[in-house]
Amino acid sequence: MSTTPVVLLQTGPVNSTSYADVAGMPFGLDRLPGETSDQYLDRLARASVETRTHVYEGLVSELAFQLGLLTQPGIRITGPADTTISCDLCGLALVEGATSLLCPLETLDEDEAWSWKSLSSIVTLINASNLWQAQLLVPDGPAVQLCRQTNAGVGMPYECVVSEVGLIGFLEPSLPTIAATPTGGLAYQVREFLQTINQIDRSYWSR
Amino acid sequence: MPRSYLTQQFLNYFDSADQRVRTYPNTLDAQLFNIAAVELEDLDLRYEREVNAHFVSPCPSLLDNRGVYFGARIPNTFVLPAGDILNKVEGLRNGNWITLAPYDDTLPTPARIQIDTTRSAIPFDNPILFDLISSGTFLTSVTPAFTLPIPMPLTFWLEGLPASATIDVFIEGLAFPCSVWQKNRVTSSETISYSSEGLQTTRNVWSRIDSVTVRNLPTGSHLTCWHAPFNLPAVPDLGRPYIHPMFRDQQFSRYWQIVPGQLREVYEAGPLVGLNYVQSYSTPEVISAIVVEPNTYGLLAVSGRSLYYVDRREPLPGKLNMTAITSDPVYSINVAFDPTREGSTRYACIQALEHAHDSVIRAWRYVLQTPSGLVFAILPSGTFVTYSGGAGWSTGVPAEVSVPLTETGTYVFSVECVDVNNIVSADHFPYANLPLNTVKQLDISGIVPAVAGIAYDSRGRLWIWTGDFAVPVSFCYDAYVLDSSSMNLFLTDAFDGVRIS
Repeated sequence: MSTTPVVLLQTGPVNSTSYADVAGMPFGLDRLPGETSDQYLDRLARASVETRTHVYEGLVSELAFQLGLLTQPGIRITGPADTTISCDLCGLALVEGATSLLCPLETLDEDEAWSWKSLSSIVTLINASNLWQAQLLVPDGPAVQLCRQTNAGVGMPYECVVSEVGLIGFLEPSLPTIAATPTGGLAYQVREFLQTINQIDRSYWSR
Repeated sequence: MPRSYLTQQFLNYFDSADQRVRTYPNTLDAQLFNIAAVELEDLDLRYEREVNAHFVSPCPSLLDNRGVYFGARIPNTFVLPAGDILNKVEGLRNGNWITLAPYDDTLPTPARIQIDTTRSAIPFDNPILFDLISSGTFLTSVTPAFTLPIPMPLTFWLEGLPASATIDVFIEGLAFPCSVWQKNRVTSSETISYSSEGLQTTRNVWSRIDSVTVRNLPTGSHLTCWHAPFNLPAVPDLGRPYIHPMFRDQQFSRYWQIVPGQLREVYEAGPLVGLNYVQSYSTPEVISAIVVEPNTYGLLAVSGRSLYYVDRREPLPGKLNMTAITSDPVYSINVAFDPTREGSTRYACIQALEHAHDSVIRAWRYVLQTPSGLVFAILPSGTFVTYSGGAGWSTGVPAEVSVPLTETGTYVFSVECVDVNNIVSADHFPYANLPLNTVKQLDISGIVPAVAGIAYDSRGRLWIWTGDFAVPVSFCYDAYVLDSSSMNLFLTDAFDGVRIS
């Protein structure tokens, strides 16, 4: 038996196998390193009420759940009951009768890179309309967090969903409109996407 | 050793005619059964955890240091002591070596309390959703349309029921969590059915309540609904039901109540009866709020400045060897709390039970030994006289006497009888006048300015209500778990250094 104190080498945070890990088995979601049981159970509870299939909302949710990121209501918009709201990469559009407002999510910089507006600037723009009122429900961040969505079937007031993980596909209907630059090229980020895809999937090299 | 609630269940299998064994809580029989009952209660606690772990909502989350430890590797050259019990484990924090305790997940004793920075303080002025005294209307609709500041199950408390009745409470709203996509949100509903008084909670955790409808609440009955369980009339301890000596195979809901100078365990005895006494504990200061720690044996009691972490299992009294008898006494003695005496000083009611030889009794007396060792004879009037060979003897049938208990600890009450043959028989009853079974006292004066309530949310996270805000708090344990097979030490908190011996 050792009688003098022995100093130990510490190895940092480690997850134990807790009751929460048992509860998580049917969900296909592992507990992340350092994620506490209550945080993990929150994630599982949210996963149990969201669509996690191949549809757009499902993919956004599943990405967020797997990575431990948040998808949540981000901007609450109130206004006339017959307002139509839609959001895609082109921007957040509000239409009521003959009145409409388009809040672009990004601008094209001089170096042809998308520069994302902030969520708070979009809220400010909506509030300046004098027809609709908006309230930011989350900490401010880039507007790329706004998901593709519409208030069809929901009506007003409407809570626009934001996600800490984005999903942009090449089949995104609005992509051709905003990917093209005035000089006939592609926006910097889209070029980067293509470059990465080419590196990962060499079947594109022949084209 | 604690007394298990299951001990009485064992004792209730004795015939009701065997009053001494079935009713007296500290007989040798009770002590023997209690050993098994404590083990069974432990298994019951773990079984409940295992079952609840199969569902997200009731899954125990505060155990096991919330599933995250800080690892430390023990050198292979270190030889573990016999039984793999380390002599001393210390952690270095701010230049000081702190002795760490083994982590016990049935009674995880906190070392410190802190504001939980992963959650925000929430403005919170009233935990009650509605308070309804029925006018006899069959259908009462309460439509609060209320968004809960902290997602919680609704808690209902019903009292003043004139007789058994079937009462339904129908709740509609948005269960928590709801989809972030508005188009995918679905309204939920739930019905709570009451047939007796007391507490019920919804199965759903709610984020928004749209309406509450109450059916068939009798006139004068009082139904209150909390959206957060701060300051309930009595705090439920439903995992440890109360078992009464008179009712074999029947379990009653156990609750905790604050009364001036005491915490009391009570049980819900049914309509027209209300909450009955089980046990009481004197408190060192005025307690303003309590909460039962889920999935453990812990209870938190809060005063204005301190938080007491309490083992809520009743400790057995001392001097248990006194209950041994080798021959049947003329009278045996039973001692119970006297509920007719209100106030901070508790009284014990002494009763003698006739045994087979009562017809030949010549004289009797009650004797009391205080926790500090003073011995008195008790006169039938309740007056104490100094104990001596001839003090305090009476003739006739031993009468019921109520005596004040001014010390905490174990009193030993005795009944001594002399029969016509001058044979003296005696029976003894150790009676614990219990203080709060505090395991740890923590200073909270630097954390919250005042305490109006304390509660766990549906995820086992602790909130202290100041009257204006719900403040999130969490415990630090300064403890360790040893995995001897992998030679790893798992610490509940981060330290600048760790050493063992």
